[in-house]
Amino acid sequence: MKKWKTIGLIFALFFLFISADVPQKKVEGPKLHKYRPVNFSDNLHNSLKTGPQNEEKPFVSGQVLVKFRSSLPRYMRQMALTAYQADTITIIPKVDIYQIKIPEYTSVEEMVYLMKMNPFIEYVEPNYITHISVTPNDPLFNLQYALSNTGQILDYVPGSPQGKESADIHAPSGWEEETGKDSVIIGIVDTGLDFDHPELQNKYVSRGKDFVNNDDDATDDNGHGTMVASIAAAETNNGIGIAGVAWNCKILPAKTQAFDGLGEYAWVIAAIYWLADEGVDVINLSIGGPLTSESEISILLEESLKYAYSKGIVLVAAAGNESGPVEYPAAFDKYTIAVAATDYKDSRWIESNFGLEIDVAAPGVEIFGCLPTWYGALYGYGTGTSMSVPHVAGLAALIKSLKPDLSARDIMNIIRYSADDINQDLFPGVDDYIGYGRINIEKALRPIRITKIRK
Amino acid sequence: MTHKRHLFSVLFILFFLSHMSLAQRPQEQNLDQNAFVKFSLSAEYFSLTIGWDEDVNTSKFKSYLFSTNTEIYIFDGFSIHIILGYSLSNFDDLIFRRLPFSVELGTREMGGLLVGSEINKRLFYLSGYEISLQGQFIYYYGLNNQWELPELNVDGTVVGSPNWTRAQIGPKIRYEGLNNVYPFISATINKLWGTFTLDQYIQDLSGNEKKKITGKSNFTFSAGSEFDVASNFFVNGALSVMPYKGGVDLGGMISIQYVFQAQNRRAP
Repeated sequence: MKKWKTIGLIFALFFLFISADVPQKKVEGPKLHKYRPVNFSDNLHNSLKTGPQNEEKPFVSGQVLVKFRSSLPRYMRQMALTAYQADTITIIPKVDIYQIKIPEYTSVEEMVYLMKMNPFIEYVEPNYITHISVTPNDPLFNLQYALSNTGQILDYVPGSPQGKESADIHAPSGWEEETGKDSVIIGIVDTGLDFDHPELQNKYVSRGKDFVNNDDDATDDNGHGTMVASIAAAETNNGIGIAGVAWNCKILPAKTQAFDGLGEYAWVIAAIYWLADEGVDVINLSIGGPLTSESEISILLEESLKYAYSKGIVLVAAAGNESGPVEYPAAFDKYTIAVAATDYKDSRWIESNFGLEIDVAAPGVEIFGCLPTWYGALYGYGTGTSMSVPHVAGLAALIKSLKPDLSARDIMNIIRYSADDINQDLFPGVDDYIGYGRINIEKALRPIRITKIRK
Repeated sequence: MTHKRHLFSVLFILFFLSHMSLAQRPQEQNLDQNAFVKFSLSAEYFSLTIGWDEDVNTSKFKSYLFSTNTEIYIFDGFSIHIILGYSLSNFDDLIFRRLPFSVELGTREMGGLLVGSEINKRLFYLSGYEISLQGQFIYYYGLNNQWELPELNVDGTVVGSPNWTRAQIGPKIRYEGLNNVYPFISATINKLWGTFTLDQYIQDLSGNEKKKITGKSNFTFSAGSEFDVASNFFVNGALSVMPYKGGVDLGGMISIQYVFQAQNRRAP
């Protein structure tokens, strides 16, 4: 009889033990971000909110912070956590604070209550959410609704339009994964660059090439190129001005548009070959050529794009602003990502060109960016698909930074497939107006948690 | 390369042990009388911290093992086990960043087949204590699984195929001074390694990533007991701790054994 009792006890102990880790009732909650913000600051946005649970509670669901009494040996701490069915996520060094993941079937409040009764635990508290994620400390970031739209007023001028929450490219949460490598270069085919602008003076690889005046100084005498470049890769987290999409990526300007904004195909073609040979990773083409019939398509322009594409360069081009057919080079569908424009409410911009060639859209209305220093103001607003393109080019540079082995085609597809279909109520799926949808940096970069078995 | 070296070391030791035992065989008496086959059903659970991406990242690996264990006593004091079974292994929180779309596993337990072997060799007796050496080798072959890739605007599929290997070797001390209850402790060198391959398919976009995983703990300390329930029916149970730098992992095992050719399994 005694023997059976002993056996029973061993069985009970064993099953109690293994049940500690048997998955309990699964509750689908917001995905937790394991990777903490790169930068903490005490101003600006609240953008770590990742789901409805976080919006209601000011702490990370499923996690608590625990500090054991120093007299308790480390292995005993681990055993204690196992008893609570908690997993250690990390231990904050020096202070020995355990960041732990609690079982899904219990709440943070319950676990804190339980642990407070444990005499070996000195402190236990929820893992409170700080109101900054990877939000840069650039003071004008709150005017960049395209990167983070909280429903803010778009300008300090009374009567300015107001944004709509989440009608943005989800940049801060994407930046938790990647903010760009300085080895990744974005070529800007445009009016040049203001090399003296505080947001750009440390960002260019060289003074580029001026195909208009045929020299090696692509100084911007229009302003368009400076604004486009700043949207893609302005110096970020530097405590002044604005943020770029690709914080740390570099810029190489090729001036193909004169002071009046006009250029020639010959300059654009030459610039694309030149940038390709200079080793850029992405080419931003916020320019558009004449709408021609199919028989008049510029083979020479197409060949230059093909050359760059074959070198693994992602080409991003503007659809155009006439509410008409997609312009060239964006219309060269095989080699470019054609970008349409959306606004601060996540609606398609009415003047954005449309057609089968449209791949994605990005904010292009009232975009806040840099103006040349000679302009009189360092910052201003721009509207058009030209402003949408650098958001996509910046994303391409971020993907290239994170996954340098991917081909241009793969990067283009990642941008397409991760876009939000914001007009699905009217045009579900891919459509002629915004293509696959408005780009989403978070979806393109952050790990996607897979849970559902395919039947 | 390191894993292969570990594997070869373990296999060599197992081979050496078996060779040493077989070399003693002519000196043993009543070989046929002592030889018998024991069949057992075992359940084991262990949770192990694993390192990946060259140990930069860690996550928890959990596994439930259900196996049949055929134990063949070659002669007194030496036995070989053949292990066949099924395992539910949980690799959650592994992150694959080289795929076109980075993926984090939240797939919970994944089924797979188990195959392995174990060798036990009694070394000597000392005041009621039996000191033996045990070695075990288990290979898990995960069955292919397919998951949906959510959040995208097109359908995507992820196909995963994991495998892992565990090798253990070390001494075991069993107390035989009690009636029908035999408590024991053991300390083993414990190595776990494996790979998890993920393939991703999203329309014309595809990618593949193979990730190596290794157990952080290299030692297992176990304590448990064997019980003689009847002359041919036994129950074993043990709890294990697996310490590593910065923490400790835990495990547990229970097995029910039935002896087909009834013999007193204790040495006379």
